[in-house]
Amino acid sequence: MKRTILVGVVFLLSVLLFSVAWAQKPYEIAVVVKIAGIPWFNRMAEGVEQAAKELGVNAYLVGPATADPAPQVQMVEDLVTRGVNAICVVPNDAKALAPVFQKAREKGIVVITHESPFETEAIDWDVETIDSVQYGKNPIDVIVEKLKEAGELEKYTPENPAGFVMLVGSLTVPLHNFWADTALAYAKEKYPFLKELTSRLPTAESVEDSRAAVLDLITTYGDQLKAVIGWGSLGPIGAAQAVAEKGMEDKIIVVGSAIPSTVAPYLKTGAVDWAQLWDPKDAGYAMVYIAKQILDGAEIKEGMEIPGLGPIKVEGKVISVNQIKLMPNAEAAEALGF
Amino acid sequence: MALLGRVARSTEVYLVGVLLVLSVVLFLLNPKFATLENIFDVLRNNSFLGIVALGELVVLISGGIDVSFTAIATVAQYVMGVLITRYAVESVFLAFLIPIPIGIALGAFNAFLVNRTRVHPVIITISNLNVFYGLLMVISKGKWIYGFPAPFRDFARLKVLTLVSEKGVDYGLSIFTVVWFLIAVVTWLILQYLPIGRKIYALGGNSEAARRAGFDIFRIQLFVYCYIGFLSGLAGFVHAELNQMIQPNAIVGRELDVLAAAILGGASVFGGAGSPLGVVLGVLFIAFVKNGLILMKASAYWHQVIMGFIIVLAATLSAYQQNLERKRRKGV
Repeated sequence: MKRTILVGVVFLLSVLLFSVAWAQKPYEIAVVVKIAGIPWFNRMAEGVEQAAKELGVNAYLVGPATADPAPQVQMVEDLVTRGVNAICVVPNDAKALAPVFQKAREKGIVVITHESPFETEAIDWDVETIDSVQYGKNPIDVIVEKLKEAGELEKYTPENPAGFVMLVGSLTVPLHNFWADTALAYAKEKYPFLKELTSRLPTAESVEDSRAAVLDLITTYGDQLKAVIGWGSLGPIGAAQAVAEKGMEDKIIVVGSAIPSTVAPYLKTGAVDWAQLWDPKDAGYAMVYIAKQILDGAEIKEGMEIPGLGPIKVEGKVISVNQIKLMPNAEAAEALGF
Repeated sequence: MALLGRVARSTEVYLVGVLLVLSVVLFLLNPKFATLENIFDVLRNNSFLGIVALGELVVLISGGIDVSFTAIATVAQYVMGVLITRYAVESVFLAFLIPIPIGIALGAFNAFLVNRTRVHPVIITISNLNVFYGLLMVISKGKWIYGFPAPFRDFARLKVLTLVSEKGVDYGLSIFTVVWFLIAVVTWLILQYLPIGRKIYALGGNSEAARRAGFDIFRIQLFVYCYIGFLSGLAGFVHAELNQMIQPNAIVGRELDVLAAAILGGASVFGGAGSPLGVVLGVLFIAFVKNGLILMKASAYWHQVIMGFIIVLAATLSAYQQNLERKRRKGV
């Protein structure tokens, strides 16, 4: 009898302890990036850690060793099996992830993506820290501005256009191509004297390829080529080197996405004229913040405030804050601190 | 040996023909192709590829293969980058000396494993590619290196022959192109006139015969893998100079480009055949096609299709031509 009571007490105690532990266990929020250990995602990890500390959740950043779809799918699969509370993913290939996202949501796991506003079928929300349309239009406005500064604007007409070319990461990066499409449509509508000389080149993930391509473009188009827009972060760097080699810093306008610390020296020499980007730290913070809100049962709606990043905009399943970081000169780039 | 020489020579003759036809077509489509400025730019841009392809050639002739050279070049240039930026090394010559022993050491490691384990070199070098590259990623955290000392930056613009374009901009024959061609000549001299060179052909032609003839196989393998290691280190330096930025993931993944250039140039994956001149022509061929596609204003969607198609076509023709030669040889 005594023994039965003892066993009963121990059992009750352990159930009690277990449930206390259960109740106090913070949300586990995993952020899965394209590839672990590169500077871009190390910066994102800072934002994730900051959010973890401020919001009292167990948030962390992981990623595969190579930027391939398969190991990333595997990684998300493992997290689903382990039963985390939320999974935030920067996809290598959103389509390849759709089935495992489906599985996660069936298990009640919150699924959030970043840099993937077009494949939203299988997810809860996509979080963007820029206004993608604005991001696509900006370089066009800057090119026109620079042409005006040079006093050349009157020279160009639809018959005698100022030529530009665009470099994207690859022809299958949805966001790069969305920006490029937006820029093209915007230029056509608002500045008919701008003309894309040749369809976009898939070199912007490599300094070497971008440099070689821009050298070839200079040879091919000569004075017709007035501007280069790089949508991938190495496009402007490679273009700048080509332009500098040909001593054409003043003749060709180089603009686009670039990492501030990398582009600063080129902004100083004028080889790059202007750059823009968002801060991956903001993105890391925002994803974890949104995940926490959903887990707390809060409703995601227009105007909700993300601390430090401002009110959100909601379109379909895409949540965005507009935090485009502009780098009109080297000082502005250096001030961003990453 | 004379026969081998003839095979190689005829591959080269055929490649020169193809290159000439290609150049004429490109010239007709866009006359700017044939400007010295454009040719010099293409030569400079492809010196990295050209140098490592010569290393791959030597390995292929010996009957081996090395796919880890991209990682070797990366590790070598990365260590150089860290050292010259941290200690502000002003001497370009000193910077140049850093990657080379690293390349040779990693090459020796490959040779040792290939010889001792007797596992196919594809497997060994793919594994080592991952080991070298993986370790570098872990230690460096993928950080990019840039902002090199001024002499290192200025060296990139050094030209052996300087001309001035109509617009008043300097252009000319880059130092890196000269290095590439110099390496081609040295490789040719080694293969043609040094005993080790002849032994490399012999090993690749028939390894069993070479063994029975009493050749020290390990020594030959050590030489070829160290040679590609040495050239990878050198090419790593050239790559860093050309791009003025070192990224751990910039070179890895380009193994096929180099292998394609070497095989196009007449090197055989079965060993025993190939020449430096052929490989230089193979690299030039790929370079001119790439250059020509932009000059022809072809849409980027077509670049890969045309590149792939041309490589298949050229490889087929080259194999066909080698087959003919083999038949002719048997007929004698």
